[in-house]
Amino acid sequence: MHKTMNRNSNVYTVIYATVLTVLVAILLSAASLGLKDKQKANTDNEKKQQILQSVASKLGKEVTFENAADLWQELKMDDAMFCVNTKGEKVDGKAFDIASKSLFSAGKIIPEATLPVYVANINGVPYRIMSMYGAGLWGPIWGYLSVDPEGKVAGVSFDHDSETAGLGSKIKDDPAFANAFIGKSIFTDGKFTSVSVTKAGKPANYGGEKVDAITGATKTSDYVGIMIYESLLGYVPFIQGGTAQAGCCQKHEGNCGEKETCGMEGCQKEACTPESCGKEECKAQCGDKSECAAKAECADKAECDACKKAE
Amino acid sequence: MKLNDYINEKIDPLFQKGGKYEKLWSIYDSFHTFLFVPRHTAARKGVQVHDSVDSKRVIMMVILALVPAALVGMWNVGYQHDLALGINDGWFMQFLYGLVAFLPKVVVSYAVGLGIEMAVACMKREEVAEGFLATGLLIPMIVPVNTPLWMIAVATAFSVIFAKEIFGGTGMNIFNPALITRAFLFFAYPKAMSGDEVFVRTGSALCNSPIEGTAVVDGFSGATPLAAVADGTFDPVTYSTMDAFLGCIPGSIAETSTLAILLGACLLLVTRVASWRIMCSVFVGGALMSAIIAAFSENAPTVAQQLCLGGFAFAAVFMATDPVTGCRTNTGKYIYGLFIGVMAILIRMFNTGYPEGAMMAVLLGNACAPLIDYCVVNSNISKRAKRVNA
Amino acid sequence: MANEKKPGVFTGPLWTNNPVVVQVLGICSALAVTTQMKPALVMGISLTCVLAFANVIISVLRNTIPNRIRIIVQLVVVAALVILVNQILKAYVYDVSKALSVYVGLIITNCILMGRLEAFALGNKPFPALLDGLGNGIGYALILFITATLRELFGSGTLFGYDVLARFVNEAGYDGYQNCGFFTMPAAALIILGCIIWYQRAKNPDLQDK
Repeated sequence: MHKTMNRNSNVYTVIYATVLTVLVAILLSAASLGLKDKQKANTDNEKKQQILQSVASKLGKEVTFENAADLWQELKMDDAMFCVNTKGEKVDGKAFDIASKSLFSAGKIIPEATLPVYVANINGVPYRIMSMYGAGLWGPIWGYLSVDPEGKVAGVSFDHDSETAGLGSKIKDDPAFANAFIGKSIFTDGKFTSVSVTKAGKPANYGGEKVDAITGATKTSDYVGIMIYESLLGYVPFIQGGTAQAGCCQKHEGNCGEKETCGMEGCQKEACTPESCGKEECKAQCGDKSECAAKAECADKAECDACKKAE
Repeated sequence: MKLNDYINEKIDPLFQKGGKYEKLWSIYDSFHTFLFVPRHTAARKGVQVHDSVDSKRVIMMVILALVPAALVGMWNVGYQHDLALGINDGWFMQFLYGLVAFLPKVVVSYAVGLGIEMAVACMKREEVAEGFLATGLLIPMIVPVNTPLWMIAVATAFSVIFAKEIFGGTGMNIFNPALITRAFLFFAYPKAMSGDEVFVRTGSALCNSPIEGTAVVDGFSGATPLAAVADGTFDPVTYSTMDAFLGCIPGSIAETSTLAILLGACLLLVTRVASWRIMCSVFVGGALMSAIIAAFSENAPTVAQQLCLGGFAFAAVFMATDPVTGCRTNTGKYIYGLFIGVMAILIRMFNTGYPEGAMMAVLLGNACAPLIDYCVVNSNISKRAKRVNA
Repeated sequence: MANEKKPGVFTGPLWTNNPVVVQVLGICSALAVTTQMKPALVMGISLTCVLAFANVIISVLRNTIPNRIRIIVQLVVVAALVILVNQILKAYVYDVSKALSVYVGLIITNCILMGRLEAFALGNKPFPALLDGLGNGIGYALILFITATLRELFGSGTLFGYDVLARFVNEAGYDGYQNCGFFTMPAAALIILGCIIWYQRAKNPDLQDK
């Protein structure tokens, strides 16, 4: 070995390290730049698949990782997404780039969050797809839920990080669980009651419709129920913008006579703001005080308390 | 003593070295010492205990102590079955139903476990260790009644091989083999070990095939009270502590009746087979922790309920006191017992994924036992060293 | 070291001097990525590539590397290669890269790598270093593959995602094979590794601890 330089000198060491670092940096930047598009396409594609999965039953075909991008194109989804705030007003923002995780703090939706909405027009019916996120039994769970114009669930898709394989993981793997949500209404008489997930034979804990929990994975199922409720809570004003009247109408059908007349003017003024609907409903349901406190029939605790005071 | 002579003279040589069935000596020896008190006690020289109470006799005592719990457990299987179907055909038929459901599990557990032990013993040409006699009965007692036989077979084989034989056999294992069996079942086949349907058999006694013309009564839930605790639907008022104490609640076969378990505990304590230090401190630890939790939470079970529900009492009496896997120093035994008692209730109340905390707590205790002993011994040494140096 | 015969350099690590079951290195990834066969295979291939290239690069540079920062240089080379592999996986086999998640990144800390670089590449010519890297990588991949096969077969009833156990028994009209959830847990991988070590020591008495 012929030594021209002292390998242990400070200068040599510093120069060596610098050259090595620069070379590696160049190599890695090049690789990163070269592969960026493909990587982005992959993550986007996965998101598209999950979004479209929530309307798969309306599409009538399976959404896979492979066909997700094509279906996305077909439905012109790129033009059919927007953002809303928790008051239900449209706001600026890039819906697709919003990470649903960022909308939550301690399991509750942040009041000033900007929520993404995707609208899939299938056979002329607009299905609004909303993003959900929450805690599971072992790690985060997330998903998408679509509602039809009447406020009924058109489909859901769930994914999870680390739920128990074969049990909790069924929220993603077992189509029967997701399909059970289809057709359930998230409003009861114009009031948001979500879709509860409870053990077979047990009542819905949010007072509306329910889906049976997965056998052996009651906890993960419970968390799915909580996730749906907490996530949709932020969307309620937005969804009700399109469904409140319909819900109220059904309730006041008797008063208004025909559905058509009920539709817009008459009923709406008297009793049809979401708030008033809720409160009346609450009073009626609560009846006496003890019942009101014990059962969570009134979804909102504040409402219930108001009820009690009114009593 | 004709029979004894005959065995000694004619049969014994066949199995000794050079005999016709030399290879089967282990099996012969195990049956021989099972049926007859051993001819030889310890050598007559030196300071040794000259007694015929070898570990086979000790383990027979454990098995005797298990009998009350097993009998009540079998009756309860039939009783729960009748409750579920809304019929009542008398305590004897209920017991018979439970017996038919229980016996095959015992047979499978013994056949698989002893089969493996004997094979290993023959291979090593050692005595068949007697530890499995108790384990084999414990296993069917701590599983839900609807556990399929093949699962018990798989789990027993797993536990005998991986929890016992690879550590060197009886007396060398770190973890209690019966609990490893249950833990294996719990992690391998969670569906068969939890839920509403596994703890109550609604079909025929032998294989749970549906009986024609019967149906489960509306509103009957086979969930254990502890599952209700984990669900948050537990209401301390509606669950009768008396039921839990006597053992007419759903649960694994023999864990339900605290009364029967306490009968067994008395036998173990009177014969000094089990350590009263461990047994008592588990109960104290459990009571302490449940009292703390009950003080802070409205819907938590009361102290009495905590101690009677689930496998807590069973684990305290039969599992924690296993001399092989427990602590050996007296101070260590107190710490070990308290630790198990506290952990059992903690896991039960705060990890809703594992409603039955006792199993986990004892296994955790097993893992910590050598450490506890080590600390106790070392602190003792340093205490004495200080005294010497002072 | 330099006198080791070339075949030994390559075949040794495959079995008798296997990095996982003899040197007991790289256990954490062996536990983590072996629930399914596909990620295990990709992990094995990734590690083999990284190890072979890193070995060659370090071997080429071995006479220029300043002694005081040699570990850092090794780390930089390995880290660069690992990031490269990770980027390629993300771009071309997205589902696998998701299943491997952080474990590709953790190749950097895999003890096999640093061990081979420090013990072999620094003192040998590039070609033996290449063989050594390939041998150790494949030895690692082999153990991963055996473990993953058992775990996927009994834990999920599938091989490479295709129904094996479940399908056949189900068609006969029985309850079917019930997946043994225990095999999907890391503890099962530890026990399987233990069994492999058990078997290997039984076959090679000279490996047994005295």
